[in-house]
Amino acid sequence: MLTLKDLKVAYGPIEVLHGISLEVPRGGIVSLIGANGAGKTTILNTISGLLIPASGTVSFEDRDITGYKPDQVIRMGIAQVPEGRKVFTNLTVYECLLMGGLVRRDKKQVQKDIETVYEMFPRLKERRRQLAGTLSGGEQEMLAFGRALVAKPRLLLLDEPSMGLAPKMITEVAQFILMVRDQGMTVLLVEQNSELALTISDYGYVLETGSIIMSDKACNLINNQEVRKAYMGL
Amino acid sequence: MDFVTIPQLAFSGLTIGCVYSLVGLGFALTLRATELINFAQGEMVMLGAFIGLTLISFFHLPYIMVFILSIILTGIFGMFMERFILRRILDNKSPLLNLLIATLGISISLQALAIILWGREPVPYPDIFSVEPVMFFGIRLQHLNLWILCLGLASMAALQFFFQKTMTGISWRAASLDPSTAALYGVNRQRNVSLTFALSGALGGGAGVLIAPLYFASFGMGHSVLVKSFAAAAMGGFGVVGTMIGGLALGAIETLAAGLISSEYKNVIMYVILLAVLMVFFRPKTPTGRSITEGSKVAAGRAVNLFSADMPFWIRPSALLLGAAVWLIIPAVFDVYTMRILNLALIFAVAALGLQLIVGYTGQFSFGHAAFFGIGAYTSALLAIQLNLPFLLTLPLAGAAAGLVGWLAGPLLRLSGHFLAIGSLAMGEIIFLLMLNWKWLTKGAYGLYGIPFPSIFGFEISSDYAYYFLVTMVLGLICFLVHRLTDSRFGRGLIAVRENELAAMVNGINLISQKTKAFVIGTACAGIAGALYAHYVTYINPDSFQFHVSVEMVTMVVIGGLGSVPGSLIGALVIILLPEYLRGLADYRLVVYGGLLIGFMMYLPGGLADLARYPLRILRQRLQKNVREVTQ
Amino acid sequence: MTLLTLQQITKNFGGLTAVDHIDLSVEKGTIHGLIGPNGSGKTTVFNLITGIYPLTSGTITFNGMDITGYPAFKVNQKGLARTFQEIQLFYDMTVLENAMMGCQRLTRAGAVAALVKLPWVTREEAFIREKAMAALDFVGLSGTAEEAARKIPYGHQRLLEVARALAGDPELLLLDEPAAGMNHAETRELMALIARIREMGITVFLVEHNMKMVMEICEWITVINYGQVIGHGKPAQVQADENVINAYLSGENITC
Ligand SMILES: Nc1ncnc2c1ncn2[C@@H]1O[C@H](COP(=O)(O)OP(=O)(O)OP(=O)(O)O)[C@@H](O)[C@H]1O
Ligand SMILES: Nc1ncnc2c1ncn2[C@@H]1O[C@H](COP(=O)(O)OP(=O)(O)OP(=O)(O)O)[C@@H](O)[C@H]1O
Ligand SMILES: [Mg+2]
Ligand SMILES: [Mg+2]
Repeated sequence: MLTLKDLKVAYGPIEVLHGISLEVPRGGIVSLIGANGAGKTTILNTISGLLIPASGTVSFEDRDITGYKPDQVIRMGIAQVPEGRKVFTNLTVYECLLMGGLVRRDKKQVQKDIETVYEMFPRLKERRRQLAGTLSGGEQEMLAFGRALVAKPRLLLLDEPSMGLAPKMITEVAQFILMVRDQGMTVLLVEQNSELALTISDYGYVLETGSIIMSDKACNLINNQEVRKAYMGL
Repeated sequence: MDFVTIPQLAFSGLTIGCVYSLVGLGFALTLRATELINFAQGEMVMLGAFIGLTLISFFHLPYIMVFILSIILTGIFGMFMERFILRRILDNKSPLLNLLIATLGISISLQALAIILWGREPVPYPDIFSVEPVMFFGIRLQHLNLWILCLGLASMAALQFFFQKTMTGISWRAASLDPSTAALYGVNRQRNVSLTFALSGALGGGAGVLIAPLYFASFGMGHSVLVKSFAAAAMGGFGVVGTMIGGLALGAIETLAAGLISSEYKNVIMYVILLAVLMVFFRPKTPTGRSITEGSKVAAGRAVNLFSADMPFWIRPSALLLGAAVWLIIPAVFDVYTMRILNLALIFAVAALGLQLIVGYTGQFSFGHAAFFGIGAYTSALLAIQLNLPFLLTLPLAGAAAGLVGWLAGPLLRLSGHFLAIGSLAMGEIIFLLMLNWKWLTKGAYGLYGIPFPSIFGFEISSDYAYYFLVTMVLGLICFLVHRLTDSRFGRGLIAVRENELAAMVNGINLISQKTKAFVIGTACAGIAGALYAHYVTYINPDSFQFHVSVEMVTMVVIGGLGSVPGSLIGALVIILLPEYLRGLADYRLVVYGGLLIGFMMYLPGGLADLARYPLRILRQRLQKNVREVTQ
Repeated sequence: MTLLTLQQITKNFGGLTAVDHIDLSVEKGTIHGLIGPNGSGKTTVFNLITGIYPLTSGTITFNGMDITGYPAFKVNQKGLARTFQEIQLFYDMTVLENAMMGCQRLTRAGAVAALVKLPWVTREEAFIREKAMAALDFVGLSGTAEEAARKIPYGHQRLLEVARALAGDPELLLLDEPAAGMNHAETRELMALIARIREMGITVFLVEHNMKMVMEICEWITVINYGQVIGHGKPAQVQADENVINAYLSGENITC
């Protein structure tokens, strides 16, 4: 569904991705793990069009979307939950969720999807008139996740969705990810919590300083000694 | 005074206020979208008025057509301004102040162009509406005024609906809070910034066509509503309904104060009320917000230090020698005229250094610096004229007086961001108005004549050459002191406040006290500069200490380079010398000057100081290498 | 000996009671954990202690001194330092200068001192530099001392915040989710770092969602939910507490 081919990305003179190729099959959960600064966020931002690759291609559903602007990418059906939540601080929770559905035509269905998000996270419903910037860290993370769901993308990019969430909430969110996958959404997941990420995904890529050093079925990676040692501390 | 006077006054006040609101709404829109204080907003009014006038007198179009066309044309103009000038600066992620100076450049150029095209004299509009007023319980309501009120309220309602209820409006608000995340959800940021500028241009233009029949069309008309519409927007917290209420309130206060209390003090009253509103409603509870210098290249460590331990030993003495040589040669080669401008520039540099401390280092807006310059000038002049005190005494006293008033104004620093911008502006205007109205002390607009030349140890410093040495020595001393201040624990505290107020306060910085100290020192510098100025030009009147001079000082600091001591010097020199050397261009002088301001901001976001850093850094590297070779 | 005592502290935001009559005390020389579901009021408790928000009611005692209502800078001067859930650095300053800002409470040179620059001022400046360098060394950042704070990686920025807090020799250090966004190895290092901080005699009060970390390094844990204390005790006690499990820890296991 999504294919990256030999992607190179640089910030100014410093190249941080040295030729990344990866593939996300339709209806699957693929996770991308790697240490701090490996370039995971950079990959997601390049897919979303926030960064323009120096070379290589991004294609989505057999269409070359390299160099598309972010607002074109979301219209293609790719939504991102950005790192560090990035909620719109001075909008209310409800307005933030509405923003998720900005590019959708079926406005009635958007309202229903917002209701679904409220059911998933009752806390957001309680606080629907609170300004997003005054929510607690974890509540903001829920909002960022909910906002992306309201966009109803075909491909969902998640950048560390568990950051700042309480243990109980992490398992809930993991279940929501599985749930949306079952509803037909495809997921590309970036996580520091590699154990969790690999547990719920079908396939995994391991990134180290800008290059993919390993890729395999998630079940295999999770049992791989090297991966366990380097990324799960086991 | 009969019982209809008050409602009658209130009605005309509300009309004026409605105009402030319309222009202020334009202000608030662009400010919300880009955090920019758009100084060119006033010129949209002027443009609207002149476009309207042209359409009426040349094409004889009906008024309603004129109104619509003017709105469209000014809207397009606003969009162009964003597309070709501001977008580049926005994309550079330059500090807010750079944008502000660019819009100032636009405003200066447009005014100068208007003079070229339509002349200096105000041009009357033909009567468009029936002059026969509608009577309402004994109050005379002019058609035009009713029109203004209706249109004003209608646009407010439309905007409010747009921003609160429509998806597009919500997405614009989201984009202004976090452009890149909004883009992730499908907002085309560039397009909506463009449209915001179009909308705010149209609002300004519309206001222009509406008030021109009341006030005539003139090149300076935008300027006169600029400050008050900014005030209106601030009073309403830069919201749509708030701005409307703010404008109406200001208009009513102004007119009622003029009619019932005193027309001389009407603006003082208005500004005092504005300050009170700001202090009561818009003091931030927890510190947040983007620092106004963010994005500027002020990072400590960027300054090139030629005197560090790894440099050759001879560099300090040779730099000193070179400096001294230049210092002595300048008066030998330049003529009297040049020396005069140079001296003025150096005097302004003293004030700019003070402002640099407030704006560049502490990150606080100040649009009232000229007022402190004025306090210094008046203090020193009056002490010398009335009490015959010697210059060596009046100079420090001038600094002390300005610093004292700066200290009294300290509580204003509880405001932040744009609220501080308008707050300091209002304070500056109040001081200016008091200079104008306390005739027993200042002789008002008539000014003070015959200020004696300084005399030091019996020498009278009256020639431009002698003054050069006096000014450079004071400037040198102040440079030295400011450098010491910024290169210390205290200076680090200032920068910390600029960078992140929240982090500063949990690390033991008393925000208010730290800001106040910077403000007092900065205003004292302005006071000293003022004294130097007064005794140099020997005649002062309040005009030299008005708002536009404050803005000029901010320009010096930004053009020179935020957070750079030499930058303030360079900035002052450029801003004072440039217009002089453009005199040959006659009418086009200010057009070019404005254009240059824009150009600097587009292509030199880090200020002129940045330009000097590059060769200096190369020099440093060269010399360093030599040392290493020698030691090997 | 108790270092910090919160008595019946309460905070309302409009109609919402974010912190609801919390009683809590932190013993000197311990690592004390504060945990609870998202939005339960942990960060707000920190903000109340450090004077960022005024209390609605209640009292806060630090080192036997009533610091209720103290402004943030004064709280810091009394020896209380903190880090933030959302990193708060002086981004345009260098790493070293950031750390130097932490020594504010140990030094006193003001504007006048800067102008006259007597020998003691120069000595103090050297002292600040030394303190800051030592703190950077302690967290392992001395290598990047001269870089701009905005340029260093996220994990290092978190450590820099800790270094800045340590530079002022605080008696109590409040850490708000220091491990957020860190991977396993980094979390391990952080745990070792916190243990060393405690060995230096600094009491640590910690908010964290990483249970491995909390259970391993904390001596005492307080659990809150909806702004109220729902559990308190040693890690083992808390882990076994029915209330705590239901509100915070539980979750079905997910498998491959
Ligand atoms: N705006 C930027 N300018 C320059 N370099 C950057 C920028 N953003 C990231 N980098 C660098 O690019 C590299 C990859 O960063 P990226 O944020 O993609 O890593 P990551 O894998 O997402 O890390 P983390 O786990 O910390 O989120 C890092 O070395 C980082 O320092
Ligand atoms: N300024 C505010 N205005 C209104 N509500 C607020 C404000 N600040 C916090 N809240 C609310 O108070 C509650 C407590 O927030 P707090 O940040 O203390 O939670 P927390 O325990 O730190 O959560 P997390 O683990 O998610 O960081 C939250 O529900 C939040 O929405
Ligand atoms: Mg990342
Ligand atoms: Mg929190």
